[in-house]
Amino acid sequence: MFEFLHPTRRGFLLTAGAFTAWSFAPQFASAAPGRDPRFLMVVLRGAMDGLAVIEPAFDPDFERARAGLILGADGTPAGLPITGGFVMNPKLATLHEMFGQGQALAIHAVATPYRDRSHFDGQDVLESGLPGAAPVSTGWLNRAMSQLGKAGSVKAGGLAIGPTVPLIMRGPASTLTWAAGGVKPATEDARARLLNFYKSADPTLASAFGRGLDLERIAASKADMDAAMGQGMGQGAGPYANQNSNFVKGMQMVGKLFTDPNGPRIGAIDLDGWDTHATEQPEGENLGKALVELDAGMAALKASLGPAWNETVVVVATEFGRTVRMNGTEGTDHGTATVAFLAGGAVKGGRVLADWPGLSDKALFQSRDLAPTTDLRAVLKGALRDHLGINEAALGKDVFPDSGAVKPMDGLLTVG
Amino acid sequence: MALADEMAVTAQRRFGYGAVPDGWRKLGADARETILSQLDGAKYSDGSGLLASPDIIRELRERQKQVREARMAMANAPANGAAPGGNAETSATPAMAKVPDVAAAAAVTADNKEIFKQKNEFVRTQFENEAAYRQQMAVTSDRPLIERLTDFWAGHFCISCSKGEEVRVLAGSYEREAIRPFVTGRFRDMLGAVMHHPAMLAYLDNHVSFGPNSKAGQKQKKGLNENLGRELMELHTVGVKAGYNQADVTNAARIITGWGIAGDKDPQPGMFKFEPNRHEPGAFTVMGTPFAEGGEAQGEALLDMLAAHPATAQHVADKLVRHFVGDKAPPALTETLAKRFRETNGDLRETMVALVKSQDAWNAAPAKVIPPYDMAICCERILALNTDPKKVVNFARVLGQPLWTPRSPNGFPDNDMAWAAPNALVKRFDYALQLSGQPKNPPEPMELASALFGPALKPDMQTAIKRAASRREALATIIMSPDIQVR
Repeated sequence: MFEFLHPTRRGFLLTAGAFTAWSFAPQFASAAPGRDPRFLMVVLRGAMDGLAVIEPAFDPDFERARAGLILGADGTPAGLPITGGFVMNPKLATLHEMFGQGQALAIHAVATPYRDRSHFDGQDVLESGLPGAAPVSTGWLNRAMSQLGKAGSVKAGGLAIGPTVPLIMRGPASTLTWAAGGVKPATEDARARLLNFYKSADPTLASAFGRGLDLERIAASKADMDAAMGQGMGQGAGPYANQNSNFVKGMQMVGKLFTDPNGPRIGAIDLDGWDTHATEQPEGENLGKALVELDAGMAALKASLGPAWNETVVVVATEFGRTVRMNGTEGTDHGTATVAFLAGGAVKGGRVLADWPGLSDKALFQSRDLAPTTDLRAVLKGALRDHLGINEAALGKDVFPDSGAVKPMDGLLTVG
Repeated sequence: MALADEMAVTAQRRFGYGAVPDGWRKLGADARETILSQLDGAKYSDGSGLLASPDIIRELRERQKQVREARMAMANAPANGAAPGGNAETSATPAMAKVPDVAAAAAVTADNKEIFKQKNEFVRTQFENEAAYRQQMAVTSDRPLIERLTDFWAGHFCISCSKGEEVRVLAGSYEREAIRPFVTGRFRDMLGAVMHHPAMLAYLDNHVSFGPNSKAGQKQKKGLNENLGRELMELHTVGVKAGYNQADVTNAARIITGWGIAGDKDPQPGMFKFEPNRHEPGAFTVMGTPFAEGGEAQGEALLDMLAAHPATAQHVADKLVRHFVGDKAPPALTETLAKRFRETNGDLRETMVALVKSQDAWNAAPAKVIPPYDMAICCERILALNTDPKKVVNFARVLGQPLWTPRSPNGFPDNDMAWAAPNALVKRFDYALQLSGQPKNPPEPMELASALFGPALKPDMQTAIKRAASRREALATIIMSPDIQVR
């Protein structure tokens, strides 16, 4: 694994920093004075076509292999050149700006350890942190929170944006949820009475309902503050400012809750719309539209976090990639390796990290997919270790079981 | 508490849409027999009075055509208005000519907007009428188990409106045509109806999948889309753990190329149509079974094999048990159902009889928090409401269950606690409170609770009802009680 500087220099920097002394990292960096790290995982459901998001335009086989899907080919806007001969999809304007500011990086040819092509097993592996598909009831982000050793308070709880708790956030550490929409809220008193009823009738419902009320109070106080300041949902969301994107609203709420003194600091949110089997249109109504929404969400999050953006790491990842070649219906079918992003003020950005496998027919995984050369868990481990201070032993055993051989990637962040 | 009363309450929760006033009395001394008798009722006949899928497709296509034409007219109109004439002040004639053009362009624009609006209106009305029919069936049926099964199978073979208007407009008719008639019939028949239905063919792209070596594939340089081939195996039949590989998926997709929707020039537009010109020629093997070339029959043979595969019996049994009993149901119960499914060649009525007859299905404690849509149906039944279906659909959407619009082809989540997210429970209470203010003559809460649960009414619910600050809050408390929210 190395920073991708030039396509012909494969192997360069391969050893640099490979054996930094992780064991000297503080066990709980989050407890370090002056630091209040935030971590957000964005799960893109449906398998994002990484090759249409960050194009390896330098690859000699690129144009042939990707015919029909190339950015700027049919009079569409040209891609945005970034480092190392890679080109970014122009629909990611905000993310591109973050790249330029050194606050976002991409990891290419990355994959979870899952090698089949079921969305649902693939997402389970991405969220469970296990080496393969297996029945499981907890997610790695929740187990990572358990490592922080301060469960119980709202601040320590995880935040899941959406009406249900995704697998990645399920587990022993307490979880809050928030979703846009709803009808006129019940009074505090009525809610307290129902909570009392649950306490005697059903402890499980009592616990969930109680946590729902905790978050509701924080969200309500934030809404009041917004009203007083003349702000509202939709600020800083670019083309989605006045549209009904629950993802963008959710990203804004993440920012609000992450900056509340008693709010959560670790969260997960997801976005659909990546399963581009037919008429993919990397810059159009299909993939292009999904990218615009993702990008608007990133902008909304950054604006909503304010100065806390500097202490934030956002990971954007999908369950797997798509076929390199276009299928019979101007789309792509389920594949393997793809792109993941890290963004945030705490990220050492402006780079594409890749051990580039190539796009020649021989280089493809099972003759059809971008070959995986980086384990996504290495990226996640690097971020969790350096940002939240979770030690490597716990990462290899509890957070990502049986992954001791997958070393945390070094140097992803400005700290650590 | 008498055992019979307890069973009557369980019966309504587990095999229906929850307790209704005096429902436990009506189930009688043998709740199990009453539930079983629901499986024996009359075969479904579609009394919705709503359009059939081919008619819907034809109308949508016609309206889409009008929209396309209107778009073209709009693109041309301003050019016509501005092109000739040059300076209007120096030349009277062109200026005179120009005025009607501008007016005509404005008129065209207004007409066109009306055409766009009418098409969208058609799609929306279609969806709303279907949603209303579904709600009415669920709320008023005296065989709630059949409604629960409809919901289960519509989820198993789900389509999603997120695909676009061509699926949205068919979502309800798909359920009426491909799901409802078969919920107590044969699995193979339902699978066949699903795989031939335009909604499924469009949802998973099969109508645009070409055999790369077919005539049309060669001529138009088009090829395979493996979406439906994969989900046919992974979700609809054998399940992802059945031990197939990528080659099996590709071959399944090849075998069903040509399965599509008849176009406007075909004799029966909007119906299923097998197009030999798109069908990949050749023999293919799926999961070790060879399928000789045979056009449409090749695909039918594939469906036969998949429906009869033991892994399908296991997959279906596992999902049914999880849905009706819970994640922690005894594995023996799944075995019982899988065995019955195999013995009867996928007879879904017999498979359900095995479930209802099993003591395990009655003994297991309530474990599943009900999905938002089901909660809305429960509210209608408990409070005898007739809520606008748009409001019910919206409630379910906000809570993560937009009607006929799951996020992915594996449907809505079905594990025990999937719908117990903290914020969602808070919103449920808000909704329950709102609905509890709807009845013009609201029931007396304690009497309602007694009518709902009879001798099984628990002291802590009585306490909660007494403590409520208003009649309305008391009614919402009943709706929010674990006896309604968990089954």
